Amino acid sequence: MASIRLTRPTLEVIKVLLASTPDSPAWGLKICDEADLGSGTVYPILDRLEQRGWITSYKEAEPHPGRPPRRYYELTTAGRSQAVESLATREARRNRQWRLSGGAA
Amino acid sequence: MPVVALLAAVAAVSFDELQQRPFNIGLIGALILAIGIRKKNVTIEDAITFVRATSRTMGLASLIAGPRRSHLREEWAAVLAGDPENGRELSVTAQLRLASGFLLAAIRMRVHDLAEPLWIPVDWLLSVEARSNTAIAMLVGGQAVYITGDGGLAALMSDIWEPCGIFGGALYVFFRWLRKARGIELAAARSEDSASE
Repeated sequence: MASIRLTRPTLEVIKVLLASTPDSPAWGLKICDEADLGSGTVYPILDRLEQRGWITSYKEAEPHPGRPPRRYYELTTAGRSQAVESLATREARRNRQWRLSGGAA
Repeated sequence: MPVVALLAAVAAVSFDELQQRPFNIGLIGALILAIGIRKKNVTIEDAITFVRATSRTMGLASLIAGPRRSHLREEWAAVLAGDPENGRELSVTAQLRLASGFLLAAIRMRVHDLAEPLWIPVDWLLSVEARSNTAIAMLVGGQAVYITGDGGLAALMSDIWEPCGIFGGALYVFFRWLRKARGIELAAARSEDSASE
Protein backbone atom coordinates (compact mmCIF):
# COMPACT_ATOMS: atom_id res chain seq x y z
CA MET A 1 0.00 0.00 0.00
CA ALA A 2 1.31 3.44 -0.91
CA SER A 3 2.29 5.66 1.98
CA ILE A 4 0.81 9.09 2.37
CA ARG A 5 2.11 12.41 3.55
CA LEU A 6 0.70 12.87 7.02
CA THR A 7 0.03 16.55 7.41
CA ARG A 8 -1.88 17.87 10.41
CA PRO A 9 -5.24 18.04 8.52
CA THR A 10 -4.69 14.50 7.20
CA LEU A 11 -4.06 13.28 10.74
CA GLU A 12 -7.20 15.02 11.99
CA VAL A 13 -9.28 13.32 9.30
CA ILE A 14 -7.67 9.97 10.10
CA LYS A 15 -8.44 10.44 13.81
CA VAL A 16 -12.12 11.03 12.99
CA LEU A 17 -12.15 7.93 10.79
CA LEU A 18 -10.48 5.88 13.52
CA ALA A 19 -13.03 7.08 16.07
CA SER A 20 -16.05 6.31 13.90
CA THR A 21 -18.02 3.15 14.54
CA PRO A 22 -20.43 1.12 12.40
CA ASP A 23 -23.28 2.65 14.44
CA SER A 24 -22.01 6.14 13.80
CA PRO A 25 -20.06 6.06 10.54
CA ALA A 26 -18.09 9.05 9.27
CA TRP A 27 -19.60 11.16 6.53
CA GLY A 28 -18.69 14.50 4.99
CA LEU A 29 -20.29 16.95 7.41
CA LYS A 30 -19.35 14.89 10.46
CA ILE A 31 -15.71 14.75 9.34
CA CYS A 32 -15.64 18.51 8.69
CA ASP A 33 -17.15 19.21 12.12
CA GLU A 34 -15.09 16.79 14.17
CA ALA A 35 -11.82 17.48 12.40
CA ASP A 36 -12.59 21.21 12.52
CA LEU A 37 -11.66 21.56 8.87
CA GLY A 38 -13.38 23.09 5.87
CA SER A 39 -14.89 21.00 3.10
CA GLY A 40 -12.23 22.37 0.75
CA THR A 41 -9.58 20.61 2.83
CA VAL A 42 -11.42 17.46 3.84
CA TYR A 43 -12.48 16.20 0.40
CA PRO A 44 -9.04 16.29 -1.27
CA ILE A 45 -7.71 14.35 1.74
CA LEU A 46 -10.50 11.77 1.50
CA ASP A 47 -9.88 11.51 -2.23
CA ARG A 48 -6.16 10.91 -1.69
CA LEU A 49 -6.75 8.38 1.10
CA GLU A 50 -9.21 6.53 -1.12
CA GLN A 51 -6.75 6.54 -4.04
CA ARG A 52 -4.04 5.06 -1.82
CA GLY A 53 -6.40 2.36 -0.53
CA TRP A 54 -6.51 3.60 3.05
CA ILE A 55 -10.27 4.12 3.04
CA THR A 56 -13.37 2.93 1.23
CA SER A 57 -16.69 4.65 0.85
CA TYR A 58 -20.20 3.39 0.43
CA LYS A 59 -23.59 4.92 -0.14
CA GLU A 60 -26.11 5.05 2.68
CA ALA A 61 -28.45 2.07 2.37
CA GLU A 62 -30.94 2.92 5.13
CA PRO A 63 -34.03 4.98 4.38
CA HIS A 64 -33.27 8.69 4.36
CA PRO A 65 -36.52 10.59 3.86
CA GLY A 66 -36.23 14.22 2.89
CA ARG A 67 -32.57 14.28 1.96
CA PRO A 68 -30.16 12.69 -0.53
CA PRO A 69 -28.23 9.58 0.55
CA ARG A 70 -24.98 10.16 2.39
CA ARG A 71 -21.67 8.57 1.57
CA TYR A 72 -19.95 6.95 4.49
CA TYR A 73 -16.19 6.59 4.77
CA GLU A 74 -14.33 3.91 6.68
CA LEU A 75 -10.73 2.80 6.97
CA THR A 76 -9.79 -0.43 5.26
CA THR A 77 -8.09 -3.09 7.39
CA ALA A 78 -4.70 -2.22 5.92
CA GLY A 79 -5.46 1.49 6.13
CA ARG A 80 -6.44 1.19 9.80
CA SER A 81 -3.23 -0.63 10.73
CA GLN A 82 -1.15 1.83 8.73
CA ALA A 83 -2.96 4.78 10.31
CA VAL A 84 -2.48 3.43 13.83
CA GLU A 85 1.18 2.72 13.08
CA SER A 86 1.72 6.21 11.63
CA LEU A 87 0.04 7.89 14.58
CA ALA A 88 2.13 5.82 17.02
CA THR A 89 5.34 6.65 15.14
CA ARG A 90 4.46 10.31 15.13
CA GLU A 91 3.61 10.26 18.81
CA ALA A 92 6.88 8.47 19.65
CA ARG A 93 8.85 11.01 17.60
CA ARG A 94 7.09 13.86 19.31
CA ASN A 95 7.84 12.37 22.75
CA ARG A 96 11.49 11.91 21.79
CA GLN A 97 11.74 15.53 20.65
CA TRP A 98 10.02 16.61 23.86
CA ARG A 99 12.56 14.70 25.95
CA LEU A 100 15.46 16.06 23.89
CA SER A 101 14.26 19.60 24.43
CA GLY A 102 14.26 18.94 28.17
CA GLY A 103 10.50 18.74 28.53
CA ALA A 104 10.59 15.66 30.74
CA ALA A 105 12.90 17.21 33.31
CA MET B 1 -29.07 48.25 11.82
CA PRO B 2 -26.42 49.10 9.19
CA VAL B 3 -28.59 52.02 8.15
CA VAL B 4 -28.60 53.35 11.71
CA ALA B 5 -24.81 52.92 11.88
CA LEU B 6 -24.42 54.75 8.57
CA LEU B 7 -26.72 57.52 9.75
CA ALA B 8 -24.73 57.91 12.97
CA ALA B 9 -21.47 57.97 11.02
CA VAL B 10 -22.76 60.55 8.57
CA ALA B 11 -24.09 62.67 11.43
CA ALA B 12 -20.81 62.50 13.29
CA VAL B 13 -18.61 63.30 10.33
CA SER B 14 -20.67 65.81 8.44
CA PHE B 15 -22.73 67.61 11.07
CA ASP B 16 -20.84 70.88 10.72
CA GLU B 17 -20.89 70.70 6.97
CA LEU B 18 -24.60 69.89 6.92
CA GLN B 19 -25.36 73.01 8.88
CA GLN B 20 -23.47 75.07 6.32
CA ARG B 21 -25.04 73.41 3.27
CA PRO B 22 -28.72 72.49 3.85
CA PHE B 23 -28.93 71.00 0.35
CA ASN B 24 -26.74 68.10 1.53
CA ILE B 25 -29.35 67.11 4.14
CA GLY B 26 -31.74 66.22 1.35
CA LEU B 27 -29.03 64.42 -0.56
CA ILE B 28 -27.98 62.28 2.39
CA GLY B 29 -31.61 61.67 3.32
CA ALA B 30 -32.24 60.34 -0.20
CA LEU B 31 -29.12 58.19 0.07
CA ILE B 32 -30.24 56.69 3.39
CA LEU B 33 -33.71 56.07 1.96
CA ALA B 34 -32.20 54.33 -1.06
CA ILE B 35 -30.03 52.16 1.16
CA GLY B 36 -33.04 51.34 3.34
CA ILE B 37 -35.14 50.32 0.34
CA ARG B 38 -32.27 48.38 -1.12
CA LYS B 39 -31.61 46.71 2.21
CA LYS B 40 -35.26 45.69 2.49
CA ASN B 41 -35.21 44.17 -0.99
CA VAL B 42 -31.86 42.51 -0.47
CA THR B 43 -33.12 40.57 2.57
CA ILE B 44 -35.58 38.70 0.40
CA GLU B 45 -33.39 38.48 -2.66
CA ASP B 46 -30.41 37.60 -0.54
CA ALA B 47 -31.90 34.29 0.53
CA ILE B 48 -32.96 33.38 -3.02
CA THR B 49 -29.62 34.44 -4.47
CA PHE B 50 -27.74 32.57 -1.75
CA VAL B 51 -29.76 29.38 -2.28
CA ARG B 52 -29.28 29.63 -6.03
CA ALA B 53 -25.60 30.42 -5.55
CA THR B 54 -25.18 27.38 -3.28
CA SER B 55 -26.82 25.07 -5.77
CA ARG B 56 -24.90 26.56 -8.70
CA THR B 57 -21.59 26.44 -6.85
CA MET B 58 -22.16 22.80 -5.92
CA GLY B 59 -23.12 21.97 -9.52
CA LEU B 60 -20.00 23.69 -10.81
CA ALA B 61 -17.87 21.93 -8.20
CA SER B 62 -19.16 18.48 -9.20
CA LEU B 63 -18.58 19.38 -12.84
CA ILE B 64 -14.97 20.37 -12.12
CA ALA B 65 -14.41 17.28 -9.97
CA GLY B 66 -14.85 15.19 -13.12
CA PRO B 67 -16.77 12.06 -14.10
CA ARG B 68 -14.61 9.83 -11.91
CA ARG B 69 -16.06 11.59 -8.90
CA SER B 70 -19.65 11.85 -10.09
CA HIS B 71 -20.82 10.36 -6.78
CA LEU B 72 -19.72 13.56 -5.05
CA ARG B 73 -22.67 15.55 -6.40
CA GLU B 74 -25.14 13.43 -4.48
CA GLU B 75 -22.90 13.34 -1.46
CA TRP B 76 -22.42 17.08 -1.41
CA ALA B 77 -26.18 17.57 -1.73
CA ALA B 78 -26.56 15.32 1.34
CA VAL B 79 -23.97 17.37 3.22
CA LEU B 80 -25.79 20.60 2.36
CA ALA B 81 -29.03 19.04 3.64
CA GLY B 82 -27.39 18.96 7.08
CA ASP B 83 -28.27 16.45 9.75
CA PRO B 84 -32.07 16.76 10.15
CA GLU B 85 -32.26 13.50 12.16
CA ASN B 86 -30.26 15.17 14.91
CA GLY B 87 -32.01 18.49 14.47
CA ARG B 88 -29.16 20.17 12.67
CA GLU B 89 -30.26 22.40 9.85
CA LEU B 90 -27.56 24.39 8.11
CA SER B 91 -28.03 28.10 7.66
CA VAL B 92 -27.86 29.50 4.15
CA THR B 93 -24.51 31.09 4.94
CA ALA B 94 -23.12 27.79 6.23
CA GLN B 95 -24.38 26.07 3.08
CA LEU B 96 -22.72 28.68 0.90
CA ARG B 97 -19.47 28.28 2.84
CA LEU B 98 -19.62 24.51 2.40
CA ALA B 99 -20.42 24.88 -1.30
CA SER B 100 -17.43 27.22 -1.74
CA GLY B 101 -15.34 24.56 -0.01
CA PHE B 102 -16.64 21.95 -2.46
CA LEU B 103 -15.57 24.19 -5.32
CA LEU B 104 -12.11 24.59 -3.81
CA ALA B 105 -11.93 20.84 -3.17
CA ALA B 106 -12.92 20.08 -6.76
CA ILE B 107 -10.25 22.43 -8.11
CA ARG B 108 -7.60 20.94 -5.80
CA MET B 109 -8.52 17.38 -6.76
CA ARG B 110 -8.51 18.24 -10.44
CA VAL B 111 -5.14 20.02 -10.22
CA HIS B 112 -3.84 16.97 -8.37
CA ASP B 113 -5.14 14.74 -11.18
CA LEU B 114 -3.46 16.88 -13.83
CA ALA B 115 -0.17 17.11 -11.95
CA GLU B 116 -0.05 13.43 -11.05
CA PRO B 117 1.54 12.20 -14.35
CA LEU B 118 4.26 14.84 -13.98
CA TRP B 119 5.28 13.29 -10.67
CA ILE B 120 5.80 9.80 -12.11
CA PRO B 121 9.42 10.39 -13.28
CA VAL B 122 10.20 12.34 -10.11
CA ASP B 123 8.82 9.56 -7.91
CA TRP B 124 10.77 7.00 -9.95
CA LEU B 125 13.93 8.99 -9.33
CA LEU B 126 13.26 9.41 -5.63
CA SER B 127 12.20 5.84 -4.89
CA VAL B 128 15.74 4.38 -5.12
CA GLU B 129 18.68 6.09 -3.45
CA ALA B 130 21.10 5.13 -6.24
CA ARG B 131 18.90 6.91 -8.79
CA SER B 132 18.69 10.03 -6.62
CA ASN B 133 22.46 10.01 -6.09
CA THR B 134 23.05 9.57 -9.82
CA ALA B 135 20.79 12.52 -10.56
CA ILE B 136 22.59 14.65 -7.96
CA ALA B 137 25.98 13.60 -9.37
CA MET B 138 24.88 14.43 -12.90
CA LEU B 139 23.57 17.85 -11.90
CA VAL B 140 26.68 18.67 -9.88
CA GLY B 141 28.83 17.31 -12.72
CA GLY B 142 26.96 19.53 -15.16
CA GLN B 143 27.67 22.50 -12.95
CA ALA B 144 31.37 21.55 -12.79
CA VAL B 145 31.53 21.26 -16.58
CA TYR B 146 29.88 24.64 -16.92
CA ILE B 147 32.37 26.24 -14.51
CA THR B 148 35.41 24.65 -16.20
CA GLY B 149 33.99 25.65 -19.58
CA ASP B 150 33.85 29.19 -18.37
CA GLY B 151 37.07 29.32 -16.32
CA GLY B 152 39.23 26.76 -18.10
CA LEU B 153 40.87 23.66 -16.67
CA ALA B 154 42.52 25.68 -13.93
CA ALA B 155 39.07 26.25 -12.47
CA LEU B 156 38.73 22.47 -12.05
CA MET B 157 41.29 22.57 -9.25
CA SER B 158 40.32 25.82 -7.61
CA ASP B 159 36.89 27.24 -8.38
CA ILE B 160 34.52 24.31 -8.57
CA TRP B 161 34.74 22.87 -5.07
CA GLU B 162 32.80 25.44 -3.15
CA PRO B 163 29.87 25.97 -5.56
CA CYS B 164 29.67 22.26 -6.36
CA GLY B 165 29.77 21.35 -2.69
CA ILE B 166 27.03 23.82 -1.82
CA PHE B 167 24.93 22.79 -4.83
CA GLY B 168 25.39 19.07 -4.13
CA GLY B 169 24.51 19.49 -0.45
CA ALA B 170 21.47 21.60 -1.28
CA LEU B 171 20.31 19.02 -3.82
CA TYR B 172 20.76 16.21 -1.30
CA VAL B 173 18.65 18.07 1.28
CA PHE B 174 16.07 18.98 -1.38
CA PHE B 175 15.76 15.37 -2.54
CA ARG B 176 15.31 14.20 1.05
CA TRP B 177 12.64 16.82 1.66
CA LEU B 178 10.90 15.97 -1.62
CA ARG B 179 10.93 12.28 -0.72
CA LYS B 180 9.32 13.09 2.61
CA ALA B 181 6.81 15.43 1.02
CA ARG B 182 5.84 12.83 -1.56
CA GLY B 183 5.57 10.13 1.10
CA ILE B 184 8.16 7.98 -0.63
CA GLU B 185 9.97 5.35 1.37
CA LEU B 186 13.28 4.22 -0.02
CA ALA B 187 13.15 0.74 -1.48
CA ALA B 188 16.62 0.02 -0.08
CA ALA B 189 15.67 1.20 3.41
CA ARG B 190 12.56 -0.96 3.39
CA SER B 191 14.42 -4.09 2.32
CA GLU B 192 17.01 -3.47 5.06
CA ASP B 193 14.20 -3.19 7.61
CA SER B 194 12.64 -6.44 6.49
CA ALA B 195 16.04 -8.14 6.55
CA SER B 196 16.67 -6.99 10.11
CA GLU B 197 13.26 -8.36 11.18
